[in-house]
Amino acid sequence: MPVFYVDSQTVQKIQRFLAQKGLACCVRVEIRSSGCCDAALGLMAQEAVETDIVEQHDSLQIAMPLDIYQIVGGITISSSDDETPQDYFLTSEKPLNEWSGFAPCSINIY
Amino acid sequence: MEQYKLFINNEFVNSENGASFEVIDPGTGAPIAEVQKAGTKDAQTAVQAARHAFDSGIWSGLTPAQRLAKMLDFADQIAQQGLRLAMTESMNAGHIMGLAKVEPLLGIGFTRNMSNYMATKFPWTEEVPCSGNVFSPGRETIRRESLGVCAGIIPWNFPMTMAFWKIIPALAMGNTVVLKPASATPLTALIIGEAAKAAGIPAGVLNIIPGSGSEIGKILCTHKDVDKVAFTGSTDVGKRIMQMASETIKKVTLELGGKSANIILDDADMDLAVEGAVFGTFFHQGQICESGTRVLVPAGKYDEFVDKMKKRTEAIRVGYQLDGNSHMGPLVNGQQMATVENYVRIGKEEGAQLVTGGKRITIEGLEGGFYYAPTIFADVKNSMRIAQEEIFGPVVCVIKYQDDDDAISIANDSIYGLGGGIFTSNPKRAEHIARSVKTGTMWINNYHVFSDMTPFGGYKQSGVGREMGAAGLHEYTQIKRIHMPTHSDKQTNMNFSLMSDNKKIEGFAYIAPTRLMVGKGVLTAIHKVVTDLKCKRALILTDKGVKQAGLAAMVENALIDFCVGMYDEIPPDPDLAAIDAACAYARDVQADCIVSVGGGSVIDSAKAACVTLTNGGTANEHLNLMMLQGPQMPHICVPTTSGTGSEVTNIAVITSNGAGRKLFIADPWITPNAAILDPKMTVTLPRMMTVTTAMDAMTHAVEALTSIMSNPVCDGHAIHAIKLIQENLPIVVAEPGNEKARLNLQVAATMAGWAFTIAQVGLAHGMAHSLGTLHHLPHGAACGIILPKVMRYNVDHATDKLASVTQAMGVDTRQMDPREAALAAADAIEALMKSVEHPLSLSGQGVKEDDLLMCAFHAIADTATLFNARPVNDPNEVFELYKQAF
Repeated sequence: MPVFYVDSQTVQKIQRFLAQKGLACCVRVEIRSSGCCDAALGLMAQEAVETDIVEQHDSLQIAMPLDIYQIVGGITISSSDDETPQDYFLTSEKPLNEWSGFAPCSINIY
Repeated sequence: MEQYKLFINNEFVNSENGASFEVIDPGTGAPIAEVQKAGTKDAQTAVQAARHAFDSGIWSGLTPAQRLAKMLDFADQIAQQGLRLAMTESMNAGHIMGLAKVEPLLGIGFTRNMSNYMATKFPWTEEVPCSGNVFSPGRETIRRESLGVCAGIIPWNFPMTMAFWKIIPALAMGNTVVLKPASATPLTALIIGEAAKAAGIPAGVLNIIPGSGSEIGKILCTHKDVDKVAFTGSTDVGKRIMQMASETIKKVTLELGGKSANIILDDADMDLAVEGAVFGTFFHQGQICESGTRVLVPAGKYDEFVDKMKKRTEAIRVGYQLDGNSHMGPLVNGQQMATVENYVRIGKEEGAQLVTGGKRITIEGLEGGFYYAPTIFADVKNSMRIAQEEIFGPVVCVIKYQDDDDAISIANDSIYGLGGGIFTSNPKRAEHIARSVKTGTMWINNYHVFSDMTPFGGYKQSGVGREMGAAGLHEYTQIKRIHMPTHSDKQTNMNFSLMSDNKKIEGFAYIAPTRLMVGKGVLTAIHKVVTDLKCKRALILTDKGVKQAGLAAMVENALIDFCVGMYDEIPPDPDLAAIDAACAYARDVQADCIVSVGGGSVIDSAKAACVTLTNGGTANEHLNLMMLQGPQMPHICVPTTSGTGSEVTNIAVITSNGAGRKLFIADPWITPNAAILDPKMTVTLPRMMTVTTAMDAMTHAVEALTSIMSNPVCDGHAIHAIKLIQENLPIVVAEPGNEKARLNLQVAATMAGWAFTIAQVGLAHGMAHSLGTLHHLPHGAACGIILPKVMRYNVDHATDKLASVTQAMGVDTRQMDPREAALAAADAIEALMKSVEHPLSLSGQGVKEDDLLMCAFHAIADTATLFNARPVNDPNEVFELYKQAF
């Protein structure tokens, strides 16, 4: 059973972004804070580690740490039509909190 | 298990779709209540209830005093619920009892203080005495009115306090509220709802709908009937709220994240600093947005500080929040625990040193609780994620810095700016650093202190707007300005005249307060004038020429003991520096009255000096129109020329080198208190000055008569001034010592001054000003040369008035048609000028023809030109007039 649900438009958008930055074609789910209460799911441009759950979507590798999967379950990644960088919406089978999916996130590069 | 319902329109109701959810005690992990879960329809119903309540006026229509009475009832009902609120907050949000038990008290105080301020001190209406618009005088009133329906969205860390912060200011200012508490901690907000109902707050004024943020939040941020959104929470959610709210241009206040720097200076009391750092980070398990989660320590004290902080931190007792021995309670839930653990892992991966903590705590019997050890990271670089991103848990980064500037730089190296601290024994140093850090609150030798009457909010991405204090109340109002003009007459409306061919302004306000003392020897009256003005220290302002002529000494003699000095450095065409220098002298001698002895430059300088001395600062700060609010330093004029009229006018003309032109102070409050017209002061005036200053007065009179602002009172002054000049100027030229003729010229100049100070002047002055500014041509001479050309230019727009000039000049117009009679006025003026040998051409005064086009552009922009009888819009027309005068 897939863990990541991502439409093709979103896959292509992520691929284009990573290619523009000259990065490997892989993203990893993280829990990140943007200040105050209610952390959110986000994406980072990072390769999977051994214990991650990994899936391939086209040439894009999507990974998630196991402990995050245990908290939130499967994840849907969508995006809006325009090209603004900060517009990926992540929702999960078990919402991280009541604001899940409300605000978009960007792909962070650390 | 306790049951809680939605509070909508004064009733506790189930959700429309029957959904509910459980809330837990984070200290045990066990559910403690079941809460109805609001959905989209419930949110819409709540908004409608709030909208209806607001629009009905049942709340917004109360007077502030009436609303205060209800808010005090509300405060009393909150007090009735005090113990229940404290216990519920502790159980649901994990507050230690020491904190929870004071929160209801703080809420009651906040309700009373905000409501009291609203009713007794808040500026609901203001009169604006000086609007700054000189073209549309009238009454200007500012009203502050309620906004409407205010949505409040609050977080889980301080649910009761956050509920108070959103509900109370909104209600106090006459708004209605829809509050969405955090789903993790909705209980105390709903108890506050019970208190509101018991207090008789009308139905619909307060509505409380716990539910999913992503669902309810969208409704509240986009609903057309919501006027304002106030949100406290994460920055990403805040950004999205701002975006959504922008679709309907809602007012938005946001209180978002922080990563505040707590700066320990090298002279700090170390024990105090350690305590402050520990409290600043670990209070309420670090779940506070303004926590000092970056502690900045000077390099020389670093190791000692970390060691002490470690020991102090390890003495913190983490336990069940209702246990009175606990210093720290649990995190709010498992998701927050996961977030904290994630960041601790990141910190280790980034190379920070874990000094203490960094692990869960299991408490026997409370294995389901979410306890985390207070955690210190040392050797942290400010660029690390743990130093840049808000963890919202009991985790602190201790960062080394080199000096005060380095500390400030590190503190400011954050996208946030919410709080901050400084620990030091040097208040001056603390104040300097506090001002340098870009943040909304700085605590010195303290942390986490809030006061009802002081604002709280963020710089940068920590938020928009302020809560609490007067600033917080203002956020719940909007401003309306009501303007009522002095005259309600289309022919007195300068704005409307822009779209009309008829530019004449009919209505007027006549303000001419100068006490005029006239006659031979009347200078001796100056002594009485000074005492009537209750002054004792009169400073004479004059110029070197007047002093050399012995005139200033005559005034000094007449002032007897009241004269404290004489300043004779006023130049022709005074600039701002000249005024400031005169003011410095006046302050040195502690003058309480200025006596100007001289011509227009001296008198105008004295006016500007009086304003500057009264209001402080430099002369440049006071180059304003109609902005003074009361009497200025007393000013007595003793004119030594017969032209300026400045002794009775409300204008001072000063050269601004920065602006490259003459600027004005125009205000009834600068009109001199008294003017002494004694012919002894003009009897020695040289012939050329007599002639040119008289033409200045003539130009004032003619232009006031033909101005679009002319009026019957000023017309009378102008016509008689023209007559007096026509009759007496030739006499004075022939008999310079004729005191009676000299006095008549003085009176003419003053009457012309009264005329133009109300009716204004016109194009001739605009053109003369440009010649004065660009080529230093004396004003009187420039006016005289230009005046007849402008009179002819205006002939078809002021025919009758110019014909009356002709008559005042003694010319018989009975055989002339109106236009001929009008044109004859310019001829008569030129004849007079020829007879007294007044200069007749600009070239004769050294003006170059190449300079004239630039003068034309300046003249078009001169304020005086606005009032010309004929509209002046084409610089080429003005250029032609200059060429005629060349």
